[in-house]
Amino acid sequence: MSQTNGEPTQVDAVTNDRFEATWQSPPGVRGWIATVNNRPLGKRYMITSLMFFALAGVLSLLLRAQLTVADNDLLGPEIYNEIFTMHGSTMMYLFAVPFVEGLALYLVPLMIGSRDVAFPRLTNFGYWMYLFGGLVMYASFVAGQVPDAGWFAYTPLSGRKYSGLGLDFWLLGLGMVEIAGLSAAVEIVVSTLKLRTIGMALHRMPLFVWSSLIAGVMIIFGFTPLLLATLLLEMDRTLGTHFFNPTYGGSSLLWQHLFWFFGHPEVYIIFLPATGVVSTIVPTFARRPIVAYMLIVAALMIIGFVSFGLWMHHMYTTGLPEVSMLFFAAASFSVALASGVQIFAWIATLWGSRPRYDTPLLFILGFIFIFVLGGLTGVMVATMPFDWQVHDTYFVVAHFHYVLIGGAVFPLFAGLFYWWPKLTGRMPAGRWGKLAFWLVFVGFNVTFFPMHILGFFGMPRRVYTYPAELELSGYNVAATIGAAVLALGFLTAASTLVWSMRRGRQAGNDPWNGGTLEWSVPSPPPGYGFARPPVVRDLYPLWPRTSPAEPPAALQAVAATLDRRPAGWRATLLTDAVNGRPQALQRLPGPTYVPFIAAVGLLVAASAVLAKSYSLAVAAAIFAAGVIGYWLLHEPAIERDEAEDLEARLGLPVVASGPRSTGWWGMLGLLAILATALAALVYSYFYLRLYSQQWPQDGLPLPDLTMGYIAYGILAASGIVLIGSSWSRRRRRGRPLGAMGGAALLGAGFIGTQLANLLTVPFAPTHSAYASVFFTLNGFILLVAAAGVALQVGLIARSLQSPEPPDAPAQQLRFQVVEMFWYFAVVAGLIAFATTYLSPHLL
Amino acid sequence: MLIATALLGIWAGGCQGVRTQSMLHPEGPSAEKIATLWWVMFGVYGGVFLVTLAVLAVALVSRWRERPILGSRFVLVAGVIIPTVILLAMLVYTIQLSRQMSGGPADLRIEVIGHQWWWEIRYPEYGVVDANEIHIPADTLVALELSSADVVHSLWVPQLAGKRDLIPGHPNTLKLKADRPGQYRGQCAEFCGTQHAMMAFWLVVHEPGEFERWVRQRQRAVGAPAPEPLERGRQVFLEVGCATCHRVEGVSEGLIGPDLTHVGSRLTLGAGVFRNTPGNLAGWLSDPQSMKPGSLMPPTYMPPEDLHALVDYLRSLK
Repeated sequence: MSQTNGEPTQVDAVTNDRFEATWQSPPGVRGWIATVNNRPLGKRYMITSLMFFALAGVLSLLLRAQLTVADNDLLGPEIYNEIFTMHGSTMMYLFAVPFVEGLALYLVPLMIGSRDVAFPRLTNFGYWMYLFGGLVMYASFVAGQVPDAGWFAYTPLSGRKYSGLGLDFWLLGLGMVEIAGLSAAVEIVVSTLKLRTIGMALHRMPLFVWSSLIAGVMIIFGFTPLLLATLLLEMDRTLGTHFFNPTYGGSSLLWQHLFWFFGHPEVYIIFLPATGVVSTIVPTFARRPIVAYMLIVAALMIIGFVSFGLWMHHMYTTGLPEVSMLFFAAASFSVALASGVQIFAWIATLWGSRPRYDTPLLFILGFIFIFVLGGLTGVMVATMPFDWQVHDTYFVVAHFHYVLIGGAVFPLFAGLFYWWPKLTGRMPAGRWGKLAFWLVFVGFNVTFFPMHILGFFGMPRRVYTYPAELELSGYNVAATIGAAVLALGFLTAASTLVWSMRRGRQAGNDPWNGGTLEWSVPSPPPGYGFARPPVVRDLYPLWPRTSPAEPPAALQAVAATLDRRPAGWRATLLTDAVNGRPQALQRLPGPTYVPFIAAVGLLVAASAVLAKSYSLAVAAAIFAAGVIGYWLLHEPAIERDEAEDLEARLGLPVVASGPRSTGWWGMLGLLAILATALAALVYSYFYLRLYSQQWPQDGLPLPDLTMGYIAYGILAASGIVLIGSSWSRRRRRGRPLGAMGGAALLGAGFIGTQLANLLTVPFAPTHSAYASVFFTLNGFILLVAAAGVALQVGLIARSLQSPEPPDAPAQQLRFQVVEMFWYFAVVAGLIAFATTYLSPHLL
Repeated sequence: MLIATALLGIWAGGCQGVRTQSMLHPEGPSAEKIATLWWVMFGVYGGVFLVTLAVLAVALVSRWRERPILGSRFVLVAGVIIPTVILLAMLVYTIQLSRQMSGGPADLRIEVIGHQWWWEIRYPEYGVVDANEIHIPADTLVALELSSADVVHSLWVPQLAGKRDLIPGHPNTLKLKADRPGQYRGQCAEFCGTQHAMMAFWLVVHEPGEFERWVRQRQRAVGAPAPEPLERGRQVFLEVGCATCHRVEGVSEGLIGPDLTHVGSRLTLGAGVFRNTPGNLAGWLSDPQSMKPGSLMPPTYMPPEDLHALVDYLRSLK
């Protein structure tokens, strides 16, 4: 304790009260909507996702009931297909990823010693998008049009010819949930990089934080192609484009590529934070540091990177060339090795430690058992010839439930029992927790082990029934009985956790003798988490120190100065992304309704698409964009006096710009998302082209190169003008605002010219897949350009209204992010030009 | 314990009755190699599983020590080096095995076109069109050319070969060979909509001479003109609407449902689901939705004597 927080400084009562008040959320429903604090929102993410987990669990019991005996007609095919679609979609999109994100939003700031996350309003926005997205998906039950094309929604089955309105609920709900996922990911990545407390260099970062960081980066690159794919499919369904429609030159396989480019990393996005939980709990119970920390970090990075090369795993039966087998085998082996490293690091940590077998550790041991088995069947299905047999059979169902329940749900329950005292302040009852574990463990294996054998004996996935002649009933009866036990186990776990909230014994700060920072604060933690930023010298700051050196006095002084400071507005410390040296303060916003209103706007837009009133949808989307613009312009306030006082005493700026600031990194995150979307669109363009006899398809004319040159030439010119603006801003010469005005004007000129180009093209987006991808790629650039021009105009208007010197850090940062965005828009435009205009002429 | 249960389960399962859709009861070279691959992997990876758990057990029961006695070197050896050796050996083995699997030019070409929820089978070399049954000679390498008329399907006959998808716009080929005559069940393995579960078929393997006879029989159309007692049935076929969707050579040209030119000699009805008996046929004609809910075949209302005539006529189409 004292090691991290140093000697408590005396802060006068007035400051203390102001500090407490600053971090308070308004009471009641208002506060519930407006709070931006990471802990209530993280908890809410977790509770909501657990409710969806329970819902999907009930659905799975219905599936098991239907499958218990051969030729059963309890549910019938339509209802069965709806239920398995919603079971898979809920588990993957509404439970697993949001739970992991909620856990990270709650824990990461506590583990890195910051007061909140980098973009609190985004946390709030993300939560509402997640909740609304889930509600839209489930509204399909009310409308009686439940999605029924599976959680993977393969085209053309999910296209408008073969599927009804249910798929629109699915796609729009999923789209909103993906936006939530991306928000949380940017949030976690930037917080981890910039908000770590004093002295927490990368090599002192807890493994859970490492795993969340890597999962966050993976979400950015994995969710974006899925978001794009869902938008394209929704356009196919509502606007009549033909990306995935083979009748008009589209490709049904394109969907599979985009989907699995997300779908395979998705498994690791869930699994990595779960291993982070394991790597946190194992040292606590072994009462010693984790063995092979560096190897584990390397393993996490390898898994994160390689998992993006594995999407073809799910497409072995689509007829891939056999030479590719070597590549995918090698890639999957490296994932196997990286997992092996972690397993043996945990075993080495536990070796001879005589741990106490409390509920969290039992779940961890159960996890190792189940995950090793599931991992080995994973190596088997990665073997191409074997996969040709077991692909889409119950063997695979068994495999991924071993990996996902064993590999993720078990550690997450271990985490729930482990951090429950931190979340609620009370200890869960040990005996009931252990009973819950044994019920879950036995129930799980009885449910899913027989499914391996069902696969061998010819039971395909996603069938609502099977004929008696296949003699599969015995194994199915076992699976159903196991499912009942499993459900009972989860129910026991839930009841003991809820019961302990009232009746459990008081936990105190650190009931498990954990070594990471979250155990240094009260349980449950106050709104600000840390009154004073801890100074960290070790991986386990709360355990007896292994390194002899005391932290330098200068760092201690920074921590002391920030004790309950700033009191008048919310702020946390910014540190160097690598070595954790203090760099500046980061002001944080307080409670606000703005993100909620933006989310409601998007909910209205989605609902309007469902109701097929597209003008309302466009209006609502524009409204939401306007609210987001208002949000961006409304920066959190600071009190001048206290700021200047702190600035002087800390020797650090109160507002940062450039790579020191969170805003710069946040913009980088947004651009990474947009760049991924652009890459996915360009990939789609060339993929469609590769499988077309003729390009442009159906004898359409080549794009008018001259008009393309003119429009994109204007865009390029605008980029050059902006370089001038940036130059004059940094040299403090000339008029950066004026130059930016010029760039914005040219940007508007590009939008006008290109809009005219697109309106005069002699075919419609609905003509063929070529036409669809041509319009969409150029339309994407138009949207990005419009957003860029709006940003520039907003910045100019703001600067004219309340002039600030261009070298004031806040103003600098505004310039920097707007410039970054516009440079991206220009480069993206040139790539789109090369793809849609030049390539058909040249290639 | 779990492994023992598994072994027992597989063994017991193998002993009772005939497993017509089991990849562990192979009847062709391709499936045989994959089954062997499975048993090898089962041995190797099962061993890895047991050893890992044993190491974990030792870790948990060994005596208390203040500091960990194992470090990064143990993790590197147990987690990287040993698995690399095992995985490389398995990779070499798998590659050798799959080299043997891709076997040369096929002697017979059959087109398989997936429909919601039945299989159209064409023998372009013989001019034969059939549905929901694939007939091949034994010991002959057959190329199934796969395509789809609507959504993605997947063809799977576990006793003979792994599965391959039928994707609209992306043609595929699956080569397979059967060792001996027999009947093997196959099923659609990619979710394709409401009745994905009831999209099955039978793959019938003949002695080569027997296969030639089968082909000659299929090349003969018997539909029209029908002999007198069956003429009434033919009239019903044309009147109640069957002809709109179904083709009978010389009688009708419907293209939506399966070709019925030889429906009388098929093994099953409703895509591999019901035995082709007069009772099932009558039930199928009058109320297909209760037998295969969601099927695209509409119910047909007709007086019992018409139904009988229609059943007799269709059963005569051999």
